[in-house]
Amino acid sequence: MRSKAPLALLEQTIMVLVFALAAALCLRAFLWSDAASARNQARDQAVLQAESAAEVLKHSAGDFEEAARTLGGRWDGAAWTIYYDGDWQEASAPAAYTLTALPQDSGHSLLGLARVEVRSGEDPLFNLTVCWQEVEL
Amino acid sequence: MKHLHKHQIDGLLALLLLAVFAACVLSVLLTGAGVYRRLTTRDRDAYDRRTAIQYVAAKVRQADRSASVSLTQFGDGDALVLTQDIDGQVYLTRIYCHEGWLRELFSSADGEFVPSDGEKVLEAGGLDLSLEDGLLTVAITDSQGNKTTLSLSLRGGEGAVQ
Repeated sequence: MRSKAPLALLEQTIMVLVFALAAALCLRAFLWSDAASARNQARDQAVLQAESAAEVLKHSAGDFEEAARTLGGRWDGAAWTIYYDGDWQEASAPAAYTLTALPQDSGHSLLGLARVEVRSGEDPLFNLTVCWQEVEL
Repeated sequence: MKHLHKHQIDGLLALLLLAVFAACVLSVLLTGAGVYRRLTTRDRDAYDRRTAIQYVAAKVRQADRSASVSLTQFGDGDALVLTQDIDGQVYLTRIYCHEGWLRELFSSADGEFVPSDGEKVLEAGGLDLSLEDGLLTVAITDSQGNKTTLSLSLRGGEGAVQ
């Protein structure tokens, strides 16, 4: 009578291979969901920071220098930039996240316009456009 | 004798394979459980932080009229006071932190209330507010100690400050 052990071994090997395939898919799904969750959390913070920057810009009626003094960061004459570390605390470049506010032409003399964008490295997280009424003195 | 020895090796190999299989199952399960725990913790923290700050922002936007937003001390520290006139009677909505909770207390302006009278809204460690020249800065510390800050330019401008 022939032993059934090789057959059992073959069966178990196939079982392990099928499981390895399923486990690889599961691990990939775990990693993907972890990355998606981290990205969503970063986007939540990006929305808050962009909202704050937009509100401060509106409050200062488009005075980027004053906005930078109020919220932080630096206005170089062309863009207002704030760097953040991984915990969304203000940091210096190179940083995990960057908020940039760029003045834009609204096409109307009394309407100011700027685009606020938050990036994670080169990857855009969130952006919004903010308008304010320019005050003529 | 030789046949018996081969049979034993085959059995041992099958057992070893089963052990490897069990170890793989366990490691995948543990990895999955770890990732799931991290995800739920992160999502809950994000929900708490986002909801608390957006709740305060929404309340300010609802009440953002001339002379309707002010700050005072109530509960465990700073409190946001939103004033509204209903049929000639002045009512106050106070938003503040007390005993680990962000609370809201809606009452008539002349009523005497204590911080524990407020409705519990969300768990929070602290609320810091500043109002300067029509710019309201809200900082909420959640139960994990994470601080979230949002600046709001009051639509009522300086007039919104009582």
